[in-house]
Amino acid sequence: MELAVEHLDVTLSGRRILKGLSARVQPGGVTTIIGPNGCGKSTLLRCLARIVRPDAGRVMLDGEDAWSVDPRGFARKVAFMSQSPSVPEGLHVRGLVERGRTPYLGAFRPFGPDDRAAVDDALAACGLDGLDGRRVDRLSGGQRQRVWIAMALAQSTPVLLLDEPTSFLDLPHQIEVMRLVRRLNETQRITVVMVLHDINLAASYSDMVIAMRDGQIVTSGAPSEVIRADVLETLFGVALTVHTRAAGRGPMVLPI
Amino acid sequence: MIRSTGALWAMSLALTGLAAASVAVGSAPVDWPALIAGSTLERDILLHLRLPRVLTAALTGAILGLAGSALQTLLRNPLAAPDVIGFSAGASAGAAAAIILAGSLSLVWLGALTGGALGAALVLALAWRGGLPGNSLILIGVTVGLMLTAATDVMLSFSPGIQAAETARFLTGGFAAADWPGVAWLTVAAAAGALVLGWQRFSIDRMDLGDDIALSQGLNVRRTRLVTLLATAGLVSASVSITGPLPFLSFLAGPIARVLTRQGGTVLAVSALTGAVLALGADMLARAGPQGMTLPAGLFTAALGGLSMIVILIRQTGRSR
Repeated sequence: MELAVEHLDVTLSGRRILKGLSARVQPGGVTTIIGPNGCGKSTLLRCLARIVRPDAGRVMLDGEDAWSVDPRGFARKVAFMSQSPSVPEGLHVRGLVERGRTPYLGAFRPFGPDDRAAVDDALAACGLDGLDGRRVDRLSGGQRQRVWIAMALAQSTPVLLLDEPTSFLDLPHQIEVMRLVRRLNETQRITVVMVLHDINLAASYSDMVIAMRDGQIVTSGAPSEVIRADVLETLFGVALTVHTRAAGRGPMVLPI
Repeated sequence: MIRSTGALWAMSLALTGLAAASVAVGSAPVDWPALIAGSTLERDILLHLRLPRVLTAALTGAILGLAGSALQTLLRNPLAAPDVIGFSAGASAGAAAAIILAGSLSLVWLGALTGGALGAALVLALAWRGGLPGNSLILIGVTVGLMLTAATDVMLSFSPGIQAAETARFLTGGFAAADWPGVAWLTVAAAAGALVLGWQRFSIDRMDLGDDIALSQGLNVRRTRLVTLLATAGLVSASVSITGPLPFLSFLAGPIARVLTRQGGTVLAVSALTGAVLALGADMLARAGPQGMTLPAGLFTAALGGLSMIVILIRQTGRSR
C-alpha cells in the first residue's frame, strides 16, 4: 500500500503548520515521524488519516487522491489511533473494538459474522482475550492503549496510523506497545506510520524515520541515517550523543 | 438487547395504560353506557376534546423525546437539550411575536416555525466556523436562547394586556387547545423526524469517541451534525407551534430511556415513548386540579422533570460508588 503526501500546505487557526511538505511512507514497513513539539508531526499524521484537509497539495493512497475517494472507502484502507481519544462512560472493551467495524456497517448493514471474526482477531492479536467484558474507563493505561490499537486493527486496513501510542505509559508498557506494533507489522504485513516523542523507541522499532522541524522535513531514511548527532542538533537545538549498537538494533541517544 | 426490548415493551404498556386512563378521566368521566346508547354529547366530548388532547400530548412528548435524546448524544452532553441550546426559545419568541402582531392565536404556527428556524440558523451560523463542535455550540446556543427569551419578555411588556395575557398563557405550554388539525400536523412532524433521526442514528451513536476517530472511521461528521441539528430544531418548532414550550421534557426523556435500557446513545424508540409517557402524565396531573380546575401541563413537566432528574442523579451516584 503506497501512501505519500505531495507539497502539503496546512494552515490551522492562522498559523502555517505544514509548509509545502512532501514525503513517502515505506510500504510494508514501520515509519516513525519525530521532531520537536509543534513541528507539525501530528498534523502530518492527521493529513495522512484524511482528518485534516490540506489547503494545498495532495495525500495519495495507491496513486489516488485521498480526498477524491469516498470517506468510507478510505477508512477501509487506513485506520487511525488518536493521541487522547475520549472514552465514553460504561463502554466495554468488546463494544469499543466493535466500533472499528464502522466503515463496513451502516443503517441497513448490520454487524455480521465477518465483523465478529475481525473483532475476535483484533482482540486476540492485542492480547485482550480475557478482558473483553471489562469497562474501558476502568482499565490501566497500557491495557487501554492496547484496546485503542485493537479498535484500529478491527478496521482491517493495510495501513495503521498511530499518534503517540506510548504517551502516558511507563517504560515496560511503552516496550509492550512497541513490540505489539512491530508484531502486527511483521505478521499481518500492516504498513505502520506513527508519531513518537522518544527517539530511542523510534530508533529501535522503525524501518524508516522522518525527521521534521518547523513544518518541513529535515531528512528521512533508515534510523541509522537519520538518528545522528548533527541531525538531532538541527531538530532540537541541543547537543546529544548517539551510540551505535549491534547491527539491526538502531542507534541509541543519550543527553550530552 | 433483551433489556432494551423489555424497556420498549414496558414503556409501550405504560403509554397505552396512561392514554386509556387519560381518555376516560376528565372533569366529567366518560359515561360509557350513554356513549354506547348513542349520546351525541358523550361522543362529542370523546371525539373533539379527549382524543385530540391525548394524541397531542403523546405526539408532543414523543417529538421532544426524540429531539432531546438525539441532541444530547450528538453533542455528547446531557445538558444539550433543545430547551437549553436556544431552539425552544427561538420558537417561543416567534410564537409570541405572532400572537402579539396578529392579535390572536391564528398565526402561532407560522411564528413558531419561523422563530425556531431563525433561532437555529443563528446558532448554526455562529458555531459553523469550527465545524460545529459540541461544546462551543452549546455555549452559543445557551447565549442565543437567553437573548431570545429576553426578546420575548420585551415583546410581552410592550404589548397590550389581553395579548400579553394570551401570549403568557401560550408560553406556559399545555394541551387544552388540542384539535384534530394539530394532531395531523404533529403526526407528520413526528414521522418525518423519526425518519431523519433514524437514518442519522448510526452516525450519531458512533461519534462519541471524538471527531478524529469518527472521521477516520469514515463518518461524515459535519453532515451528521448539520442534519441532526436541523431536524431537532424542526421537531421542537413543530411541537411549540401547537402546544407552546414544555420545559424539561426533551431534557429528561433521553436520560430516563438510557437508564431504563442501560444503553448509551440515542435509544430513539424508548426516548420517544418516555417523552410521550411524561407528557401524558403531566397532562393528567394538570387536569386533576381541585373542582375541575385545570393547570397548564407545562407547569407539571417542569415539576416532574425536576423530581425525575434528582432520581436519576441519585441512581447514578449510587452506582458509581
